[in-house]
Amino acid sequence: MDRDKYRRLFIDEAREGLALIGNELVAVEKAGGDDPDKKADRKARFDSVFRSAHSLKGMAAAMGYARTANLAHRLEDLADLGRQGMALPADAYDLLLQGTDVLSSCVDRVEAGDEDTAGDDSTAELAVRLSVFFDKLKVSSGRDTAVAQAPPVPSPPSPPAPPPAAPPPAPIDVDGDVTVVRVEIAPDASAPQVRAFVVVKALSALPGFIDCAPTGDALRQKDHPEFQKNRIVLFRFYATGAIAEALEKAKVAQGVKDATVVVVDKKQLQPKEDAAPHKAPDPGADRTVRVRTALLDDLIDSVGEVLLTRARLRALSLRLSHPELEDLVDEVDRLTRELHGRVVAARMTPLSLLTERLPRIVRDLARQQNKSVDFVMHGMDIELDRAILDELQAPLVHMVRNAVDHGHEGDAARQTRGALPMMKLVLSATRDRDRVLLTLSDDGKGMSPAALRERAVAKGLIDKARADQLNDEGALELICLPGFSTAQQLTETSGRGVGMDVVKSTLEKLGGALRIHAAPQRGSTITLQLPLTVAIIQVLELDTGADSAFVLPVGRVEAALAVDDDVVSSASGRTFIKVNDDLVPLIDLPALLGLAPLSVPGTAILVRGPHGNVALRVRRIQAQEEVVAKPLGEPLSTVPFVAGAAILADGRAAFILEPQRLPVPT
Amino acid sequence: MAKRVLIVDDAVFMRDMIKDIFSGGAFEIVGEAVHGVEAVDKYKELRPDLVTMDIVMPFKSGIEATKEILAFDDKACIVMCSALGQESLVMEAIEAGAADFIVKPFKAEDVLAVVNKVLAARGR
Repeated sequence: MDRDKYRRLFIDEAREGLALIGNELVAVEKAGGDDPDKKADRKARFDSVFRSAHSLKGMAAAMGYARTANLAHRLEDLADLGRQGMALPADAYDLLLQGTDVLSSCVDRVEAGDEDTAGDDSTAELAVRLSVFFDKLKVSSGRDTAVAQAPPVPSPPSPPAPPPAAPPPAPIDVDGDVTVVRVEIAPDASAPQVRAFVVVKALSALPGFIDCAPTGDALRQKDHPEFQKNRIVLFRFYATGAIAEALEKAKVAQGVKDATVVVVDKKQLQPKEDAAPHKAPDPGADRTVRVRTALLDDLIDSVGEVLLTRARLRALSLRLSHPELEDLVDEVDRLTRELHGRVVAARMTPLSLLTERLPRIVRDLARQQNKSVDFVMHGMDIELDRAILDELQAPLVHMVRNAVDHGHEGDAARQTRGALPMMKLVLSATRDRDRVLLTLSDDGKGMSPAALRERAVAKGLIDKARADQLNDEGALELICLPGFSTAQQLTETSGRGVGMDVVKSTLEKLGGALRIHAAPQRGSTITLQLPLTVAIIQVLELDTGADSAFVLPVGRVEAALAVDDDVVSSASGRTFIKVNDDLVPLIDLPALLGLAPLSVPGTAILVRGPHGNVALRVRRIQAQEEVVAKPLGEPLSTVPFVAGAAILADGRAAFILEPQRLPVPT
Repeated sequence: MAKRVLIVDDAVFMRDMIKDIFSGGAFEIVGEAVHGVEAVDKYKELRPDLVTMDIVMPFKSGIEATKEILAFDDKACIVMCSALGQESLVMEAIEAGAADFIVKPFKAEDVLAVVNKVLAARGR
C-alpha cells in the first residue's frame, strides 16, 4: 500500500485519537465514586478510549507500524476491561497514560520521516508490561474474557433472533445415503474460523444438509483447537441433496483451499451460545471536515480584498450618485458582510482545542512534585480565531506550569498556613462584547508587590525611583520583564524561551493585553484579554497633520475627549489632562512619532501605554473603518510601536499603532 | 454498469483506503456513514448494491446496523470489515445475514475477490 498518501491522515487522526484518550483517562482517574451514575460515566469514557485505541491499532497496522499497532492493542485490551465495568487500580492509569505518550512519540517519529523506528524497543517493552498487567487483572478478577473480544452488541427494537437449537448429537454412520463433503480452509487465510463459518452458513442452507463438524456454533467459540490444527469442516448431506452446488459454493468461497467429497469416521457435535444486550445511546453528532489552516488564512485574505474593493466601490458610488449603482453596492455590501461573517466563523475554533491537553499537564506536574492540585476549566467552548489560538498554546502551558511550580508551595506548607493542601486552579473563559477574557486563577501562595519591586531593583531591571512609583498592579507586572525570573528561565518550559515576557509580548502582538492580580497568601489571577479575531479589525484613523496615515485599533482605545483648557494642566514640565478624577499624561502624538508637533489643541485619545494610561493628542479622529490587518515585513517590522499595516478605503496605506510600545517618556 | 457502494466506518483513514480499493470504474461510491445509525439511514436512502460495514463504531455498532438493514431489505449485500480479534462478532453478523467479511489491514486483491463473489452470488 502506498503509505505516503495516507501518512498525513494517519498522523492527524492518530494525534486526535491520542488527545481524546489522554483526556478521557485523566477525567476517569480524577472522578471517583461508586454510585451508578459515576460508574456509567466511567464505562462510557473507557468505551471512548477503547474505540480510539482500536482505530489507532487498525491504522497503524494498515501502515505497517507493527509495534505501534501492538502497543495500541494493549491499550485497547485494558480499556476493554474498563468499559466492562472493572475498577482499574491506580497504577493502571499511569501505565495507560505512559502508553499514550509512547504512542505519541511513535507518531512524532512517523512525522519526522523516521517510520521504520515508529515503534522501537521501548514501545515493545511497554507493550509487554501492559500485557502482563492486563493478564494479572484478568486473573485476579476471575474474568474469563478473551483478549480484545468486544462485548456483545445493543439490542435492536425488533426482537433478537433466538439462539439456534442445538442439533441432537447423532452418531455418524457410514451410510450409502449420506455424502460427506470435506472443506479445507487455506493456511494463509485470515480469520480462518470465520471463513469456515461463512462456508457453514452458505452450505447449511442448501437442500439435503444434515449437519457439520465443527458446527457453526462451535466455530463461534473463541478458539476451536481441533479446527485450528487441521482447518477442516466436514459436512453431511443426503446423497440426494445439492452436493454439486455445495461443492461449487465451497470452492468459490474466499479462503477455501479445497472442497471434496469424502467418507469419514465418527465426529462429535456440540453447540454453545451466549448473548446479552447492552444499551447504546442515541447520536446527533455534527459532521466536520478538516481544512488546511493555510487555506483558512488565504480565505480571510481574499475576503479582506473583497471588503476593500467594496469600500472603494461604495466611495465611488457616492461620488457618482447613481441610484441603480447605489442599490447594487448595497447588495454587494450585504453579501460581503455575510461572506466575511462566514469565513470568520470558519476560522473560529473552540478554546477546548487548545486547553484539552492542560489537565494532563497539570496532573503530571502535580504528581511529579507531590502536590495536590484540583484543576477545573470553564467556558472552553468559547470560540476564537485560530490564529490567536495557535499563539496562545505556549503561553497557557507556561502559566499553568508556573501556577503549579511556584504558586503551590507544597501540601504540608499549605496546611501550615491554614490552607487546604489541595490547591484550586481554575481556567475560565468569558466573552465580553468583542473580546474574550481568559482567566487563570489559583489559591496558591500569591505574590507580593513589595517583594517584586525589591527583586526587580536588585536585578538591576529598573531603578529604585521607578519601582517606588509603580502602583501594586504595575509592580505585579514586573514579572513580565525579561530576565526577571532567572530560575524560571532555566526550567524545562523556559528552556524553550517562554517566560512571562514572551507571554505578554505574544498577547500584545495579537492585539490583546495581560492583567495580573495577586496578593501574598491569597493566590494569583492572570487575565488574558483577547480579541475575537486578529485579521479584520475596526480602527480609528488619526489625523496627525502628516501625509502618512496612522490608525489605532478601536479595541485599544479607552476613551476620546476634546482637549479643552479647563482639563489641561502642567506640572514639572509635563502636561496632564483630567480624565474623570485622574490626571493622565498628555502626549503630542505627532511629535512623539517624529513629525511636526500639533498647533491646535485637538482631540486626546486615552490608551494604555507602556507605563500606564496615557492620552495621545492628535488633530482629530478622521474616521472609523474596518480593515484587514497585515503584518509588515523587514525592516519595518522592527519598529516596535507599529503593529502592522492596512489599506484604507481610499487606497492609502496606514500604519497600525501599538500603544503599549510607543516611546512615551517615563 | 458500476456497482453502487456504501462505505461505513468511523475512521476517515479506513474509508479512504476502501475508496481507493474501489477506484477504477467498476464501483461507484454513493455514500459514506460514520456510525450505525447513519449506516441504516443511508442504506434506506441510497439502496446501494453493496455495503462495507465496520464493526466497532459509536452510537450503533456494525452488527446492529447490519441486522437492521437486513430486516429492512433481506437482499442487502453487506460485507463486514473486521479487525483481528473480532471473530465472534463477525460470525454473529454473518449469522444475521451479512454476506461475507474482510479483515483489516486490507489487501486490495482480497477485498475485491470477496466483493465480486458476493455481488455475483446475489446476481448483481
